[in-house]
Amino acid sequence: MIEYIIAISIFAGIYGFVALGLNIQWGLTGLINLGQVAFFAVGAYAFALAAKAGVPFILALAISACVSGLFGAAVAMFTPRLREDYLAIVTLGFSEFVRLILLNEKWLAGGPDGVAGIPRPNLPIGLPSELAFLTITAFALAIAFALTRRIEKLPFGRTLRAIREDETVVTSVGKISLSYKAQAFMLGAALAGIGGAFFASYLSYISPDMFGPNVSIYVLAAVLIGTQGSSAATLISTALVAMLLEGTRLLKDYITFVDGVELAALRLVALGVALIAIVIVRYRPGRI
Amino acid sequence: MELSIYLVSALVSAAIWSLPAISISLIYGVLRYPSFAIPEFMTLGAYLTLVLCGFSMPIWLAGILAAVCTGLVALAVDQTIFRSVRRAGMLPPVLLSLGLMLVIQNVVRFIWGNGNLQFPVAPMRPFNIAGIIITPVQLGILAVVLAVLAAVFLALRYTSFGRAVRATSTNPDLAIVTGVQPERVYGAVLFLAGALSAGGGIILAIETSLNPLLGWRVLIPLFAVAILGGLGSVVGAALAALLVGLASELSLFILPSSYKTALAFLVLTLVLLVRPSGLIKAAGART
Repeated sequence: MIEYIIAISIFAGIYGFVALGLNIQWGLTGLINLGQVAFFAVGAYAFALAAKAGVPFILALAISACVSGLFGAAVAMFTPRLREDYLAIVTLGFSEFVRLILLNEKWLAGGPDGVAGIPRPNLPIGLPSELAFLTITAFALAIAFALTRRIEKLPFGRTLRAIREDETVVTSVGKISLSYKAQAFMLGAALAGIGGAFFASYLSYISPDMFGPNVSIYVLAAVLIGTQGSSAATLISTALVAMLLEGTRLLKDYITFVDGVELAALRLVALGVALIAIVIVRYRPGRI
Repeated sequence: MELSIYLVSALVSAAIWSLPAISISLIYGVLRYPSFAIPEFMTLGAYLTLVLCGFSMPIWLAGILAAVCTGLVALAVDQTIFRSVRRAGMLPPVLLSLGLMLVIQNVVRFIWGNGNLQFPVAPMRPFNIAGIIITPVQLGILAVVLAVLAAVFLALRYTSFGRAVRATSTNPDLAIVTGVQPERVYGAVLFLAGALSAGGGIILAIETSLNPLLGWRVLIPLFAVAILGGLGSVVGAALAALLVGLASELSLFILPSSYKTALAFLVLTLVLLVRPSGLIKAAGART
């Protein structure tokens, strides 16, 4: 049982990075990103390849953040004016594009077989492996949290919020809103990349089918539940979503009348229904 | 000779894509949001057809009934779930369509499993028309899609329903002032979109095979087509389907076939960069 709790906590921490990233993009700046899993995947693969090549943990982590950030910048550059409807389509399309590349380019990262044997960080402290990993994840997440809180308070963060509220006003006081939006998008992608790095390191094996659209929907739901824009609320709601969704994996041992495929399908139906319910509650008339 | 095979295949792809792409276009034009549930209506329609075929029904009748049923599902979902966020901007319906996508795809997976299913269509000798080789099924698909496209085009242009749809998409407030009831238009558009998408899904399943990812796999080409056609334009979507179909078939000369979808994504981003209003100016000709 305690192993399950540790595992769920680690997953919650991993998704925490991804959700914090989405919160900068969407919650703070108002840029919708329906394909956050793309940057999560890029981070995971960048970490996996770097760590397997012998790069130390911290450096591999930095590499995956940078690579994901670059991909974020590229997506931002290729989406004209970062308009809401284009972003929705491009980000969702991009996530599927990334998955296809990972699936088909065998030379890059094993294609459908994925990458195995991804190392975990070595810790000098005498904790059991799982607990040590949880400690590192929590520590890193705390740093990321402090950083995003700081960003929210800085003039940079205030500008992002202003863009969300009224872009024209921001432009009229002489700020180039497009550059701010691109930076916010890049930052959010980099955070998702760090989440991906921890994901790869924790599971020690990754393959393209782990990076389906449901991961993006996970974090969308989490950011939606937490009042958009607040990092603390985002983390709490991410933990809630992770508990609900990863927790239902436990049911597999108790429910015997549905098989694996059916149970997986049911969990995703539940995720979809949850997203629909959250959106209706959040956006029902007279509550905006 | 070689080329003619690619051309036929491009035509068939275009025919299949044009129906759901027009659905995306219609919904975007009238309700102002990109609907990610459209590919799932394709999947749903195809599975319903297969179920109806099981009752020893001819495939054309099963297809029509399944399309009507899918249209009704789309209508029902719109009037219950989507209606509650009608005035809240673009984002809520987009997120709802994403949730709906997940629900339909996995309900299908729960009921029918992950396996590939085949439609009971007997293989027939392909025709050879002036050196162009085409199967009777492909010929039938082209004929049916052309007829449906013509019907949709005429309905939008010449009927009072079509006028109401075009009016709502050009200027919703003015449309209401002139007596158009927006909820009726929304409902009708969703029914039409559901039925057309189901049609696209059924013929895609006949041409390939059926599994829960049938629709999801063509999501990117569909959006490439809808955007290239200028979101909101039916003729544009049909022409764009032809262009994207040709591009992705001809790309087979230089790229492996697994990259067809990736190519569609590149087309999509290029169009957004160069000409975000679509290839065919939507203004004035929203039919």
